[in-house]
Amino acid sequence: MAITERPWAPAADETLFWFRAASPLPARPRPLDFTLEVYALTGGLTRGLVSLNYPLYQIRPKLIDGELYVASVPSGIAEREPETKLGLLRDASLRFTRNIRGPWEKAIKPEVQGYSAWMAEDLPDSPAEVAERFRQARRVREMQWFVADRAVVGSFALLKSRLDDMPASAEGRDKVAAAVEDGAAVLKEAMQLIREEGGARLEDFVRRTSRRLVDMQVLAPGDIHWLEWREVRRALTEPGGWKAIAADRKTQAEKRTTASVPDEVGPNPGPTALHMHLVHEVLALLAA
Amino acid sequence: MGMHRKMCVGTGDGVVLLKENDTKWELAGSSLPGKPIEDIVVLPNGSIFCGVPHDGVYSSSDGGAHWDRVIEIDVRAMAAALPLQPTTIYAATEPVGLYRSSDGGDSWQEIEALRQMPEEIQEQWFFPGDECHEGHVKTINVNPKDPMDILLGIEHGGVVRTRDGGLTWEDLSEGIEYLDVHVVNRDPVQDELFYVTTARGFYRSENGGHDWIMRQDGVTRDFFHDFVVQPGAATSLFLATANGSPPSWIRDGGSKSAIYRSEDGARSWQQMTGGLGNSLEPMVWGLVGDPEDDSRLYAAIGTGVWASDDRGDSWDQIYDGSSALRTLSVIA
Repeated sequence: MAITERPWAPAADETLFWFRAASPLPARPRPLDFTLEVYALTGGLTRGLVSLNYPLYQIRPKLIDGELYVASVPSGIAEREPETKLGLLRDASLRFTRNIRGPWEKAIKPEVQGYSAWMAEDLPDSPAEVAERFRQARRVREMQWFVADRAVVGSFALLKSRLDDMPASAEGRDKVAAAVEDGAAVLKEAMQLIREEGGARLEDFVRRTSRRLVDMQVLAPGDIHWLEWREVRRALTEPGGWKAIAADRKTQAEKRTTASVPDEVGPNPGPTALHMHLVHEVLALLAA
Repeated sequence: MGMHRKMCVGTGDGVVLLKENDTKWELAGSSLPGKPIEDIVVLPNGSIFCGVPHDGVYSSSDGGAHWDRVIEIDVRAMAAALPLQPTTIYAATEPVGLYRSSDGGDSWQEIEALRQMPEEIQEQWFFPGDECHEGHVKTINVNPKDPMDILLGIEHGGVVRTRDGGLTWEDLSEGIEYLDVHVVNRDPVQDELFYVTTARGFYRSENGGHDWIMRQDGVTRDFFHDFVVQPGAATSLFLATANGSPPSWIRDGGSKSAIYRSEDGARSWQQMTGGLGNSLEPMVWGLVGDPEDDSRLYAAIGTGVWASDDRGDSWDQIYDGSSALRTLSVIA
């Protein structure tokens, strides 16, 4: 086991392989889409996969010419001891995939529904309280993605991979195949609750916050999407100048052309790279 | 041995007081039943302070016979500013917050500058496992040579430091990959030599936390928790480890925990198996040194306290209770 003599740092953007993932995220997110929902989804996904010992540091989002790309960032811990990390992942694959439905029904589904209910609650009265609730909303949405990514999405990808690796005649393959079939049904339900219902609750939460800002004459209708998550909170407590910022960003975005958008940017490490392990498969599950 | 130490043991069901009687440890009492004790501080005047999550700090000045709640906070870590400020106590909370009492627990003030750190730092303080999803302070480490110099380990958040008693704070998390920080400590001899455990690694920094390097050569476990930096002829480190993370310990074999020792500043580690075996089912949640004898150590393992008087080479159980132990404090 080699000792790393240098401090570890996450890879810089320019060294990473960026790709346009199949995912429920918008291809051209506006500033609020990017800093709220994209951050929440990639943050929750990162926590979920890392929790299952996927050998990566982070699923990082980035805008290139207004288009959304993601990259899987290598993990120093995993790269230091790849066999150990893959062993832990195999262990997770066996432990967490026997029964995806059980934990989902018992704990995860009510938790997911609880987060949607939180987003549907009435906004508080004071702008400062709304700003604080807007801060919490990203964590709530991130938690909603996280709990399902760990218990359902990441686990299902491991289970499916295990089945794909089993020879047709392997003992116990029927059981794994049945678990995959049931896991797929759980996955579908989870995505319905998080992607569709949770997404709708979040949109409505943003809409109500926007209405408050419009009533305060801080923003015009629809402007909220052209501010970033932090800026919306500041707009609630420090009104003034936000309409111009939103209008300028909207104009800039409209001028941007979409003529040639590459699917990939940066050096492709190939599908066998440790930090790319099942990443495309997981992202595809989120979009399925 | 042959001394008369006392030990306060924090458990999931109150605090247990043990007394050393020559070479044996005896149960001297128990109190605060029903309260999970997260941390314990004992001041030189004998006052005991226990931190209870979602509740507050409890104080006893009569050896545990009577207790008063001296501050109502969601306390997660405590420390005293010994030896230079014998009446100063710190208590830290979830969400991340730090309170100080300079008068032996009678009055408390929040150190507000901690919550005024830059927003991008505070966004790292995120514990994805409870209702409020906020990070919490897991460890307070006060420099025994300079009580204005304080390190905080934040569970899902990183490491922060003040050198002016809390007026300003610096984030020292860069280089720690997984910010599930458990314990932060410093070398008793070299002022800027720090150590940190996270759930997934042991790190060492020779320059005050600015360059962390993972140092776990020889450790065959992947979960890291408490550790002791023990002075002596040569500084030794003792580290409590396990396999997997707590939710996975329901499997056969439990946590498979073990204690390791390093005598070269964490460059290499050797497992201590004397009296403990190769693998322990319950987790080693607490490890402390002895205030007077550099060769002595104590470990909280499951419901029992274990002691070693030969720098970890061999261990004997000195107490077994009925509730899981969480923390230890030994008083000479």
